[in-house]
Amino acid sequence: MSLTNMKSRNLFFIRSILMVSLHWTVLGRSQGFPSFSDLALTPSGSTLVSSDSWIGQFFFTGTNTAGYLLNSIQLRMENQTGNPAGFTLSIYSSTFSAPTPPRVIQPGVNLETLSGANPSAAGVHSFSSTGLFLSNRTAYYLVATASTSSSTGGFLWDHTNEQPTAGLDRMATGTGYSYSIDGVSWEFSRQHYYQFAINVTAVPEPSLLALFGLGALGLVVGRVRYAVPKT
Amino acid sequence: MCRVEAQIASLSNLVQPSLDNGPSAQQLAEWIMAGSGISVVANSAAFSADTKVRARGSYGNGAAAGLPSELDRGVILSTGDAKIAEQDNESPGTGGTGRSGAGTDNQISDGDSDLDAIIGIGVDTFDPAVLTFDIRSTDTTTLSFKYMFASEEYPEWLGQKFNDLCGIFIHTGNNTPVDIARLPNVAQSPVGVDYVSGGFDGMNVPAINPEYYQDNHDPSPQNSSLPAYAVPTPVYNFQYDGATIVRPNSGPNVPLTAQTTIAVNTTYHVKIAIEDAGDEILDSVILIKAQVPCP
Repeated sequence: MSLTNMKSRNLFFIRSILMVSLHWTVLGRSQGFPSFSDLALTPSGSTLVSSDSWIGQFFFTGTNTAGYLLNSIQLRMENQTGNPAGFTLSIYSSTFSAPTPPRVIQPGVNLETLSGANPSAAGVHSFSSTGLFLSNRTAYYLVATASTSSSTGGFLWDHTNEQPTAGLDRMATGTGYSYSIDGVSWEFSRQHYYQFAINVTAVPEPSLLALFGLGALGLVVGRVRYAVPKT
Repeated sequence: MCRVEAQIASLSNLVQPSLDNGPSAQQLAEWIMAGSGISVVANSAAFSADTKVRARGSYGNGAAAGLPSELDRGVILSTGDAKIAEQDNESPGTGGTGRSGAGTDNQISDGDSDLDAIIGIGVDTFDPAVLTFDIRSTDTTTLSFKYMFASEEYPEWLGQKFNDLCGIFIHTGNNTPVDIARLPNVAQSPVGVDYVSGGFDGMNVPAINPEYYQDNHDPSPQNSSLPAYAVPTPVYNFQYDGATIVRPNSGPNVPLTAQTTIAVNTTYHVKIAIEDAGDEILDSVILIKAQVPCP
């Protein structure tokens, strides 16, 4: 191998490493592990989820300026009671119950209903998003309900009294929750935290994208410059 | 270092006795008025809060905990367990019932009537801690209290219904009590969570009278106070996430002052009160300068 070829290959190798590292930094954050989770905390009880018992747990997104893409949500559940059906978990925006104080935070508009099976058995159940965009430093709600009323039983969502810790970019659960009998009128309480994990992908910052582009450009230029003509 | 009652905390240096063996309401009142030239009428003081919690206390070494020097020693009234004041600010929301690290609340479901009149209708209030006493002076003089309001409600519960507040009321005879614990702004705003704050951009709540607000670094990710007012680390070594302060043009920060003129040989009824609003969960306190004796 000629000296020129070795140099070219070495530069290509170095650039590849840098590209992979950058790709991991920009796009790989939080993939494969929860961005926030309080699933490991000891439950203090559970609450029935049914068509006449809606539960909304709010959370704050992290500080990444360009926001996040939602991958999935996990809930910690107990064994269902009775024969409930049609469990749904949705992401709602947050709003206030009135324009001015005294008021409380409550679910606003349904942004996406996630995909997942009925969480009938005790354990952690996962619900997938199509990649809903979440703004940074914003309060959103996880809203759980079911198609059957509490007269037939319900799904049981665990809650904890322990203080959850922050996740990716200081993403965290809200210190309160909303509940409703119809998904329209909401009450609010700060007694405990419903247990969930959230998995998001941080949207690359424009500056990081520019760096990514520069790296790619450098790779192309390098390959052209050090290319060895075929004989 | 002045050791007052049992030294419970070493980190915060705030000290709070138990109700069982701590100072009486009369002692607290006399310590507050000591050195003012104003006498506390004998056996006139009373304190109301649930006896299961330590909603009142005295403390020392406040300056070492970062408080203004005027509040180095003082009396504390809390909407929950005042012992929480001893903790460093490691929790975004301490107080009330049920949650980790929580104190017990005062277990009183109705607020103080004078504070309720300030906060207005439509807000449920809880857990009042109220110290009352009568005073007299042999001269016309200025009655003055140096105090700080601090709360766990800051900053994430701003702009909602959790408007915990305090007041210092004074009146003679059957006259209407007047709240002299007001901000030194033109509006003479009351002192409470939604009357003085740095705002909370997580819910688009703007700052209100921020010149009298000292952020104390809510350790949770919800600590997204408006950047101009948020601090990266606690300023005060107590549990509360924000507090009131006055920033003079020169010199160190000082506490708020509540004051009025009192007439000679007239008995005035004083009430220092604080309460939770919206729910009973997160605690707020008022710290009042007092000549708490060293042992």
